[in-house]
Amino acid sequence: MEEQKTPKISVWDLPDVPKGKLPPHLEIQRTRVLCTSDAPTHTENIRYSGAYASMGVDNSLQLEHFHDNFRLEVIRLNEDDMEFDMIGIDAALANALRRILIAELPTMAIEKVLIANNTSVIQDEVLAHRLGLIPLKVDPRMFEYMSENDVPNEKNTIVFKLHSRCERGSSRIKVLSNELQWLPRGSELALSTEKPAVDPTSRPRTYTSFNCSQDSLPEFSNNPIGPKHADIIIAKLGPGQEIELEAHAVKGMGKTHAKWSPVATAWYRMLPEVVLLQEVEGEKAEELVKKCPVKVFDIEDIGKGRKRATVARPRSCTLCRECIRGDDWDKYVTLRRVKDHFICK
Amino acid sequence: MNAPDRYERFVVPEGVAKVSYERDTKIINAASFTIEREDHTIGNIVRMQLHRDENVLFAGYKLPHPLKYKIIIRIHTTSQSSPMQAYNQAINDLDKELDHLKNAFEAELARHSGSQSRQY
Repeated sequence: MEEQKTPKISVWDLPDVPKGKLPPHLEIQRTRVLCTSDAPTHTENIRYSGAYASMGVDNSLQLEHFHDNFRLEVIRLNEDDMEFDMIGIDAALANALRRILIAELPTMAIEKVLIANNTSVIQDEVLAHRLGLIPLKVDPRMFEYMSENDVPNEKNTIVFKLHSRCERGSSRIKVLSNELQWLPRGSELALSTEKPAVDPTSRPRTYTSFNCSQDSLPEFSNNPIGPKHADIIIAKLGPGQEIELEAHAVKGMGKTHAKWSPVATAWYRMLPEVVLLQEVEGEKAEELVKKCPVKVFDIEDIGKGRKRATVARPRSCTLCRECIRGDDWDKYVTLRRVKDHFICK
Repeated sequence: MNAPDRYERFVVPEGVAKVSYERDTKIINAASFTIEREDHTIGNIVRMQLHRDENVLFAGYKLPHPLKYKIIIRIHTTSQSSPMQAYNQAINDLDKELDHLKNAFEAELARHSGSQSRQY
């Protein structure tokens, strides 16, 4: 069952291939993407379970294989970003994870803006659009979705108020996002259909009907809801201009509108693998180290004053293919990608 | 003007079944499943899992039109199993794999940050 790749070697001289594994060149084809100077090759995933049946190798994936081979390593975790590695999963799963992160995680964002007064140069709708894009620091699991027939109440809406004016005679001011005040008791604007109340002690009906103040929930009384960053410029006002509005935030998914997407972006790439086919020594080694813009290669001394190039940081390779440009470098360096090791950010 | 509302991408309207099944009259052991209001996110994963099954001869998914939010998954199997069985098996296996992934992720996060892990 052994293939003869090179001619003129008798069959008895070929190395034994252990049963159940593929010969090395096919294994490379199956698990690595070769990146030549023209285009990447072998990009498809040979997931079909019957492939390699003639070699006696079972390619189908059982659940136990997945349990054994799967590994996850978190490289970096800050408040604002995260980088982790997934080893042993398929490209379809990594892509689905990326799509879900961008589109299907719920968050809260401002949806309805009730404008009482806007004499600034920013148009009403542009101002409303900008308000919608401001990220809010609130856990969306505390709230429910609101559909069109629902009454806005404290379980599905957050109300903010913005009132800012620039006095005559002063210079321009910037309206920053920290001027958005949270109103835990609900809207303060009265519905326009209300007639003036006969009984002055009753509260007029407003745009939202909050049964209890949101402040009473323990999660909110300690950390008030507000925008995530306090220094986002919403608008700029010249002297004599004023903005007075109320904004209602609801829960939504990135699929409906990008303002509800919880991530700035999410991407993944396959782990690059840089292999030196032959020994690169001396001046060639120095040249190679200088060629790479992200310093993947390094020089190592092997005694007698000779230098050799080694691959020090394959992970930072951006696959710019500088190292295989020019003639002859193909024989020294190949670039490959590991098909089931994904670096996700 | 022609674009439907954005919430149509995931809200299944009344009276429409989420998944419907049609047997292929001309080929035995072949069927198409139509799933409403889903897109490549689910389709690619189910297709990948179906490929790993050794009884499945053909598995593919397509979106007939990008503005009509549904996918069609077509499955041919050997006589050892039926498309319905292969589909159910694939979804169950995927469920377990994703559970395992989630547990591994949470364990890793807990280990990495050393404090309470966040849920993703």
